[in-house]
Amino acid sequence: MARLPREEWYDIARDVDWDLSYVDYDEVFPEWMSGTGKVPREAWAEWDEPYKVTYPEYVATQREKETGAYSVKAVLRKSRVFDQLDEGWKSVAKQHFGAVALVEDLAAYAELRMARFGLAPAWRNMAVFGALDETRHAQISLYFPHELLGRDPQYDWAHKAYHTSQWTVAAARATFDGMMMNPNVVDVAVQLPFTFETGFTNVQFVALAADALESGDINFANMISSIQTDEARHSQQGGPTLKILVEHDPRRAQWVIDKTFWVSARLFSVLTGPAMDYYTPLAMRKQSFKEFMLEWVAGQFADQLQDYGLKKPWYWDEFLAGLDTWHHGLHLGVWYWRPTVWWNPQGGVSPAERDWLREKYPDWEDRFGPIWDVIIGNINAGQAGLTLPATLPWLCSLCQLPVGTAGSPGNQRYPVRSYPLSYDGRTYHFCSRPCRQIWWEDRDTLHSPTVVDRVLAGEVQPPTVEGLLTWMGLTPEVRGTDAYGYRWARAYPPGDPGPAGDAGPAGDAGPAVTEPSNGGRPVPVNALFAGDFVTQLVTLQDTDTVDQAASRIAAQVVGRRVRSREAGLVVRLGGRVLPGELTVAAAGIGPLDSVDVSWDAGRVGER
Amino acid sequence: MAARRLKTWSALGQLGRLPGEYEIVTHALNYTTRPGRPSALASNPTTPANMWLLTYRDSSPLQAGDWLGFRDPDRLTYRAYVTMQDQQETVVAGVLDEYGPARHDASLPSWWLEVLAALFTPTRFPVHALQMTSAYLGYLAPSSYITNCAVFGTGDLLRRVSLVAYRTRQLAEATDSAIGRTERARWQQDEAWQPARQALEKLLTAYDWGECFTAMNLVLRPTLDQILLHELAEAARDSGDELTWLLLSNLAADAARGIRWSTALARYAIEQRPENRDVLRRWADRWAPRAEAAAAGLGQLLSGVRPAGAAERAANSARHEVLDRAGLA
Amino acid sequence: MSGRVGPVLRMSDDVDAIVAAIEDDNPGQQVTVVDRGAYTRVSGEGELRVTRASIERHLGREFEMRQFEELMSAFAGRIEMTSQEVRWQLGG
Ligand SMILES: [Fe+2]
Ligand SMILES: [Fe+2]
Repeated sequence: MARLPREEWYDIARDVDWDLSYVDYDEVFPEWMSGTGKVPREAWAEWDEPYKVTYPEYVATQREKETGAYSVKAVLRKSRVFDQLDEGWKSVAKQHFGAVALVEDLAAYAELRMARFGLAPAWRNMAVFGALDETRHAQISLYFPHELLGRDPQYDWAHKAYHTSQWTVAAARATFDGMMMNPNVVDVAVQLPFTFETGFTNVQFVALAADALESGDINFANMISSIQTDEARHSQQGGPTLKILVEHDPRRAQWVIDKTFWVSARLFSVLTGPAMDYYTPLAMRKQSFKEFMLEWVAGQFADQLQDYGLKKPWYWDEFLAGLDTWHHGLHLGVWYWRPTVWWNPQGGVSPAERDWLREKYPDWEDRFGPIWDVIIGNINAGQAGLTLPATLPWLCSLCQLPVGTAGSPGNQRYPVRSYPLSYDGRTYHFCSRPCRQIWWEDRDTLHSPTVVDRVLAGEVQPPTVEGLLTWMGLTPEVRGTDAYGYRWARAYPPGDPGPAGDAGPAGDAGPAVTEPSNGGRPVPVNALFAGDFVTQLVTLQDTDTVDQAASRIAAQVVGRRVRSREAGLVVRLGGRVLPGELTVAAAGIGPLDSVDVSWDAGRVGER
Repeated sequence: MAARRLKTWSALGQLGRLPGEYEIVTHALNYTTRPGRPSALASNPTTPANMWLLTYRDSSPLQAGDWLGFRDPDRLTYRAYVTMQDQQETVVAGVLDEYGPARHDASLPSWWLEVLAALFTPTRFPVHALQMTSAYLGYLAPSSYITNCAVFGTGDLLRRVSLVAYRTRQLAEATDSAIGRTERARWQQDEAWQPARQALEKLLTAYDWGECFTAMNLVLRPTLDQILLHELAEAARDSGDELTWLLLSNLAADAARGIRWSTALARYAIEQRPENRDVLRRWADRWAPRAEAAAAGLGQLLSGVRPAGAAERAANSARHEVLDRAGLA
Repeated sequence: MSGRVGPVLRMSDDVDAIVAAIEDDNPGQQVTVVDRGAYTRVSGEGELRVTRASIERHLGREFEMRQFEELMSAFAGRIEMTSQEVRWQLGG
């Protein structure tokens, strides 16, 4: 005899609400956790999940999925497949495991929160499957890299990353805590299953599988696409929640989606963008990051929004424009600051790769080509030390990614600059107007110090690049190096691109990042050198002259990322040119100010 | 790069032996509990969610130097869990096939159907309350070793609600009883259910993780499950309802696993810090009267099929046995 | 708004059979199939469905609708799943 079809009894299993008699409703479903807001309590009774599954179906299906994933792994374990994988591709996997494994576990807590505080029993039941799913994802994302530990210590970060204060992890933690753990469960359902899991995770788990398979990493491709079959189901908790929220409080629905979409887009530009457009071997790339994002996020997700009667976020054009630049800037940042990451970024700018970048991103050459030419020139002149960091990029107070990377050099519309905000007696810097606006609206919640803030607060001792690496948990053997040992740069003809000219005195060991070297009081500023792609933390002294300050800032950039010129320097504060002979103090430069330095053709020879 | 080759996660390197799959995939997953964190969540430390974790988890009276030392005696991983439960669901499907419920159910006497209507089919409500609380415990637990036990336990409770719902439908179809129409009313109004309902509603607001764990897993569940799973199963067998007996016995294995890890966790907590015995004891004492009242109420619903007071006594001694195994006697 | 809906199938031996079943179940619909190796995007305009009966016919073996989950890593549109069919639609 066959079992009763699901439809015959499913409704009974989710008809489990009752009227509380011995405790208050608000005590069982506190507003902070349950978050009904303007939605009347009764409205949640309408909550109906579109993608249904029963417990017996669940364990049968999941058992089959697990058998599939683990048997592929078992077969490949004996083969040589891993040894033949490209070093660039391996970095995709290392970065993925580190960034993802413990966030899967975090998502289990988010599901458990919905399973407890969700306002409809059907929702709470779905979330139980969600919590089980996320437990699966955390476990499989740890078990697979664990067996590679003996071959490469960087895989240790699959487990270790989120126990550290490494800067990309800090950025991810701020984003994910804000999406899953901090809000009430109504907002969680709109942010996590609806916005993140139906929008973004598809790019990392389905689209990236296409590149993985091409790259020969069958095991990884199989694992991530199997994970995503769970997401396709439990992400369906978002729709019914959103439908009810839109009916009663459309403004809240729109806002919650808008802010989550923005920070997710920023984060994916450092996570997925470089993986697809730089680390994946050229011949194996299925589509560009931009093409994948257009397919999965800009197209498919935008359809979803409209289907629920919502608008595209207010910054939509800026987001679309960012698909051409954000991840290129972030790749450059990760590559240049490679000792600060646990994977080996592939430079990915050989002549052939560059042709591909120019074809996929017509503005790439104008925006990023000049900086890469300086880097390539240095590598080929035997000065790879000049391609290593001595300072820190300034980090956005919302997305915690380098300020400048929401724009690009030579970009009129979205230039490299900070969007500052004075609040409560200090200056905060943001990478973009949307980051600044989101922070302002939610400042009581989202306020979380960045790695730069923690350096400024004196938490990192000694305050040098080496001190910072140690503080971030990066032991020497896991610090990132160029995946190909600069092979890609050597593919350029000798002497082309030409030398970058004199570099400043900053060595690759790096000077103190917050301590001035000779007397005076330290004045940490957010400095931009014209033509660079990020702003940086540079510590001036109040006794420096403005000209000395200009040299200090230039030393971190000229000959490293910007070609040297026969020209003087000019310093601007708030758009105003400062006289070179004034002291920093007299010129009015204060801590945390934005200071711009650029070439001044009129001052040739004055340097 | 002459670094020594890693054999396992650096975080597990101090074990002094090679970890198995269970530890590799369970150890230290909850980064919101990492040492040296400025606050649990990377948000303003005073947000309600941060304050919640600080109050009910990090400042709980139940403290241990190292919660990461606790191990589930069953060492369950996700894939072991779904494999095991798929096998159990296959067993259940086999039992349902064998008894051909339509014929079996139609043959049950009406006095027994009334027992099922009173004590079996309404359980989807209390078990859902336990499911919610178990999910909460998973969220608030101070280590992933504990969370995962709670997550699988939550799955077990959804399994139980599902099977009860399934049987409710079958029994409603095959019989002329009240089944399928009166469950909510009995749960909300039947005198015999009220002490249990009161205890479970209060349990939903026991937000300190340690109290939540103690009240649910060491006090209420051992008491309630003794009646709802064991005494009812015995009564079913004695009354010729072998199907109910077999199904409840199958569900009882999940409950037994819950008791295994819960008593192990209590013992571990006491081992970590002897004062924890008093902490647990106080909570157990606070919740015991509620459990006793629930047992007295539910026992009445078995009065026609079990010797007078037997179910209630069995429930209370089941709780004592669990507290004993937990090191709290 | 593109209005295209349908499943994204992960790599497996059953992709061709599922695509054939979808084509059978949506007469008069232009079913588009984009193969990207690790995934295959199947889509139609506005609405698409697939039934258990068609899948069984094309696979030549028994198939429970729940198993569709193992094949589908994502989808476009709103989904509705019963024990006999799956449906994707927009603008409902
Ligand atoms: Fe996940
Ligand atoms: Fe930002």
